Amino acid sequence: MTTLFINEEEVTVAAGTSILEACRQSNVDVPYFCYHPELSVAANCRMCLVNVEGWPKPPASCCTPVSEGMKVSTESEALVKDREMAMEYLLIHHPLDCPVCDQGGECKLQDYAMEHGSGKGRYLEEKRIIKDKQLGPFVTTSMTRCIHCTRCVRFADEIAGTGDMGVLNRGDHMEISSVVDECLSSELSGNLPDICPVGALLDGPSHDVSRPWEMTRHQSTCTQCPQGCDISIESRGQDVMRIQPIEGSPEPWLCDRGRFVYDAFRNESRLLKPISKQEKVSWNDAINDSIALLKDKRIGIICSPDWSVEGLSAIRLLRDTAFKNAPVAFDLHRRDKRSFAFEEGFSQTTQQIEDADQVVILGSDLRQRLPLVMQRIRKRVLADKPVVRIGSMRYRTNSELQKDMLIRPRDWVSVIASAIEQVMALGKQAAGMQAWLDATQDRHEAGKVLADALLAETCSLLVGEEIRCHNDAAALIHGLDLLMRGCGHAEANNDGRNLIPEGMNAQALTALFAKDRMSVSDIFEDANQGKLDAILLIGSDPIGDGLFPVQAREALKKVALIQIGAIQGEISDQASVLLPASAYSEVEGTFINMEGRVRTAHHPLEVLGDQRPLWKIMMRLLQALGQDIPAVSLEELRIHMHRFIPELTKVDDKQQDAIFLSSARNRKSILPTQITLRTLDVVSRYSMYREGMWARSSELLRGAGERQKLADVIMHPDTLAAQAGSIATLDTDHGQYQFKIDVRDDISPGVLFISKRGIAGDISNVVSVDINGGSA
Amino acid sequence: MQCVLKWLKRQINTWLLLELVRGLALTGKYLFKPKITIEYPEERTPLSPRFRGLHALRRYDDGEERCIACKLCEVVCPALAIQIDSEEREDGSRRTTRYDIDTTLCIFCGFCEEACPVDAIVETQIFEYATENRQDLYYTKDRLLATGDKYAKQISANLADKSQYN
Amino acid sequence: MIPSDPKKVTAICFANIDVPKMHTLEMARQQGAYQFLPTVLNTFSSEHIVSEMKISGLRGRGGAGFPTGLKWSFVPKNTGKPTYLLCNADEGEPGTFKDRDLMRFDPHLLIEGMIMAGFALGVKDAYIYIRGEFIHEAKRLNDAISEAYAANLLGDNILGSSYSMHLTVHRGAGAYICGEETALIESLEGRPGRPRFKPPFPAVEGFFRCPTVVNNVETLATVPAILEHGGEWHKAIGTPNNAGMKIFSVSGNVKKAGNYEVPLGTTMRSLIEDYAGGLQNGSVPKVIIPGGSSTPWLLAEHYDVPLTYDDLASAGSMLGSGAVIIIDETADLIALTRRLAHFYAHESCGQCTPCREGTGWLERILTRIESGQGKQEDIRTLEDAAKHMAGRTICALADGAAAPILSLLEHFPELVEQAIAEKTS
Repeated sequence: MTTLFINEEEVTVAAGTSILEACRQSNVDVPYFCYHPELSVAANCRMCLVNVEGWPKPPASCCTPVSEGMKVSTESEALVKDREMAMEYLLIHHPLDCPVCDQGGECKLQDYAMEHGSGKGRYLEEKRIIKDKQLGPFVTTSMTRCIHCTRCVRFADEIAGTGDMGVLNRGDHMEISSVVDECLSSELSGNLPDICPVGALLDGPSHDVSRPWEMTRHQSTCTQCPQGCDISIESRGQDVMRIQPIEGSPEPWLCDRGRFVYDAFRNESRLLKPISKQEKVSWNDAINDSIALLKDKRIGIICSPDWSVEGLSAIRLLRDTAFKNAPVAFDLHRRDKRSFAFEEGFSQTTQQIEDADQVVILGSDLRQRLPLVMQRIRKRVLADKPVVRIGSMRYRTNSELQKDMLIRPRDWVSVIASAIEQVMALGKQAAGMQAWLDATQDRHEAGKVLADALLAETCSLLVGEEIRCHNDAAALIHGLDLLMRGCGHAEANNDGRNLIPEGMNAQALTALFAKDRMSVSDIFEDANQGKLDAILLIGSDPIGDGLFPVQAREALKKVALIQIGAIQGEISDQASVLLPASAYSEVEGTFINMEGRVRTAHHPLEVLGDQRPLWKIMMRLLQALGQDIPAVSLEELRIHMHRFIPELTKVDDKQQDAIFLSSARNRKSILPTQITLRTLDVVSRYSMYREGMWARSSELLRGAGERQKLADVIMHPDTLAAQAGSIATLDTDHGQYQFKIDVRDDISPGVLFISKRGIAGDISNVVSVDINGGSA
Repeated sequence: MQCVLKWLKRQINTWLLLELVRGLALTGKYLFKPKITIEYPEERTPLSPRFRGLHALRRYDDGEERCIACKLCEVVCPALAIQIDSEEREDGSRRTTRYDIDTTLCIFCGFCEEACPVDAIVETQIFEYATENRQDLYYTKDRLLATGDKYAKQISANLADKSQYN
Repeated sequence: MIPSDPKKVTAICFANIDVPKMHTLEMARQQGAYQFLPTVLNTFSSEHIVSEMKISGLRGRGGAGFPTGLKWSFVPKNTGKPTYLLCNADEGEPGTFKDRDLMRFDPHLLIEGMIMAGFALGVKDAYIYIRGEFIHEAKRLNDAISEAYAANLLGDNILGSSYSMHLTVHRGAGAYICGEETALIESLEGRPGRPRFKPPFPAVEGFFRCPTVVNNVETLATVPAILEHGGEWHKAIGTPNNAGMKIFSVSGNVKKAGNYEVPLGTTMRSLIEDYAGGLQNGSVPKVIIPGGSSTPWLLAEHYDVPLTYDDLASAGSMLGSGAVIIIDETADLIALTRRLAHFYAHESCGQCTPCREGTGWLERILTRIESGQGKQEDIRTLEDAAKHMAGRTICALADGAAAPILSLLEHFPELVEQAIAEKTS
């Protein structure tokens, strides 16, 4: 610790802190442009000059470390003049176009010009003009306004990892440029306008539409991925203008999916009026029509994990009261309905993952699935901390992984078995290991990578979709659990078992429905076999997303569908009744993210149309079914919610960060089973721009997704001598399909990779296929 | 004694009609003085160039509308009478798609004119805009531009006059 | 041969500069090059060399005048990272041309100095960063290095000792700023030459974030003589605290412009009159730029200033790289300042706001004044813009750019006013 004096106040900060950071920590205002707490120091704006007693020249506070007894002053006549001149230098070439600049009103340059500027420029010569750049679909540029702070260049280098921005030329010919036009393909590109201190990089979609002072800010939780970032939804009247991260929240950035999904908030796929038999009807009629289909019937419930916990509790109340024993499913990708040794959700915070000695990514396209966790991983890699990955594709990353093993999904058993064997050889034991080993035969070399990583002091396991959706997932996760316990990574404060969930509220869903959980495919199967009369679909789209569109279509030919949701998906055409519910941005409610962090939204967006909060719809249905209503207000509902999930009683607004809900555990031993497979294993791809009804309805995301599109079906060139462009006939258990094959060598041999699933992926649910005569 | 004198004075004033004569004298005096009233609407008083009347939106000489949708008038308006929507026009410039002034709310303070960085919104010398229904008091962009076009010369002259006091 | 009596020394770096074919190894060896090297490699310890360098009082000849021995002693030992030695041969300061002669006529002296310095610092890889325009010098150096490799003076196990060092010449791409040591490091790493902020200093984190020593050509060329004759010997030359010989590149309105190696402490008048043949016109110069174009100007009153780091500093300027530019009555000072401002505007790396915007602004104002478009307010603007640029940036380029303008305004305000008045009237 170092003690220094800032404006004669004694301040103690960690040794090595810069003067600027010390000032920020003690709430002393020092102006700056180029400094950003998440980026490296560039020290080029020279706005943050301060005086240090005994120093002949004023140092830049951002790059000068504090020293013991240093006497810093941030206010003096000389500094006033220095700042005035720094502003004059910056404004020499800056256009006077604040009235048409979107940044106007929240612009550092504007603020400092008022605060520190002289009010009059003395520059009489011609101003510099720089051509605008193309920086991807979400960023509009106006480069004459650039002040060359290089925050964007550092962002591209250090955070996005695309490194495709740079500085050209020198002196006052200097300009920020991209390597090739239209190249910023980062999934975090939407953050660029946020970090630009002036109006050079602007939010593309809201360009020229609104001004900062017109915005009403609604604090909410993003439910577009399990990360559950804190967001501020900015609206102008009824229209949503943009979504921004909230300063001081655990993740400083926001991914493009969470940011630009707002395009779907106000578009025509929103479900705003109750619809029955393709006609808009009144709520009363719609409820009556639903009751006709539901009352005294055998129903299956499929719900989205992304509703608020209050909404999910209301679903539970509906089921408990009116439809006892109705099967419930909330994961469109999970094939194995047995409970897992560690259920969906993280045991660690993202910070702990960043700090762990070892990180193993198992079968996940983390950059698409959880861009901000990938950001943490990137930070690790930059700090020379190891990250290894095992999976069926070398998914695009923005950092160098220490080891990257390709395997087929069927190899998971032998990978884990091999790791267990190696760990046991080193004397690390957990009860049940031998039995698990005995149930397997093959061993895979990738097991060594896993075993080596597990030997570290702390190890984070990020278990992805390839395992979670495996048909023998429970056994695989049991095997991983044995490994983690054997190596001491399962203790209370050192638990590295993280299973990436499908959506939000994983811990709550397990608490609410664990015992009655079914696979979506089972519900459709039951419907097909006449065991169900109706399906109550609350917020998902099993045809547009997930692995079971074929079963869904089959089943819906036989049973009625009642859909409750905020937005329509591919399945909505088949629904007998559609009831509009408020979206996540439009409800007061509690959300739990994958880390178990609890957030409560208090100030939601205005509700559109005739939408009602999900819990009210549930209560209304109960009333119409002739039952007593368990809750008539949110407060009453929360009493039930706390009964279902007692941990939530401890949450209050002030200590939201402190509460962590742990994911459920199952200690029952589950051993791998042998199944016969066809020659090729099928793996399907998650795309952040296409998965989910919201993302698909967002024009902005769809446009961005086009840029990262892959061919529909991809194979490794060595697999059955596959040739790009050839048409192959695939034999599956459901029949034959024809596909045009593309070839890439970052896919494991022996794997058939479907980059488009759901909508067009008729073979999404297939575990393995035979390939039949590839003809050109 | 005093009382008697006061009574006597009143009797003289009353019976000799002195008050009436004095009043008529005043009237008679003004009968021959120049008149200060005018016969509105046939006759009109001159207006100050800084008079704050009905609003107008101006154009540049080449016909391009001046307003750049900076919305400063909207935010400065104390009566919240102005509503603006904007977008990027095809040529890349920032323009309004809607510019409405509700003159039933407007208090004619002139702040909008003061705030405008491009002299687009101005208050003209027009004050006779009474209508038969309230809707007509809601001025849209088209109507504001039409006013501006119609009185363009007068507005420019007034602005030139005003500029000397800035 | 350099005499071992310090009183008799007339040249150190330039001792053999006039010997024909000195650039060949054969001739260099005949003149005594590399003779003392085996003694250094086999008997001297690293600490001994550094302490001799400290005793010698040698100060960096590149411009800043930092004591070389002290600089070497800052290099941390046992960091687990390699230490690098970089020779700064990016001689870009207007008015300086001393290193060029050294490299052209006596490259082996530099190579020998680098081997000794490298040995003292435990360097495995050393680089000479040479100015891009020095095509012939780069060739001479490369030829000399090839000869040295062939003679086992470079490479593995030099002259049979256990010490190995590799030396590479890297040509710059024409940026003045790469003469600044951290910009040089950036450029050598393959990035745009833009100075880094300090701390960390290069001695701790330099080339590829490893400990790095950057020395000027002349500094390194002085090392063999110091090690051969001892630190005390060197200290006896010149004046206390300003020991040794220094090459001055004299240019401007003198009769015999050129490089002259003189002991520190020689007066300016003596340098000009005894060595450079006196002035072209008159007896006293109008302006003396004592250490390269980025040093503040001196006037005739300082004609008798002794040429030492300290005396020039107290006179209000700097010894810099020893580029003495003499300007007499015939020169147009505004045109000269404008030309210098153009140079700095062209060479600013663009990193820091004041320098990026200020240098161009100053140039434009001066151009306007020169062409008779000046305004009375311009004087104030010039002063403000120059003053608040100097010392507010990462490197010293802004100081250098501001120096001539501030000097002009300080010493010859009437010239500027006249130039402005001529037009306005």
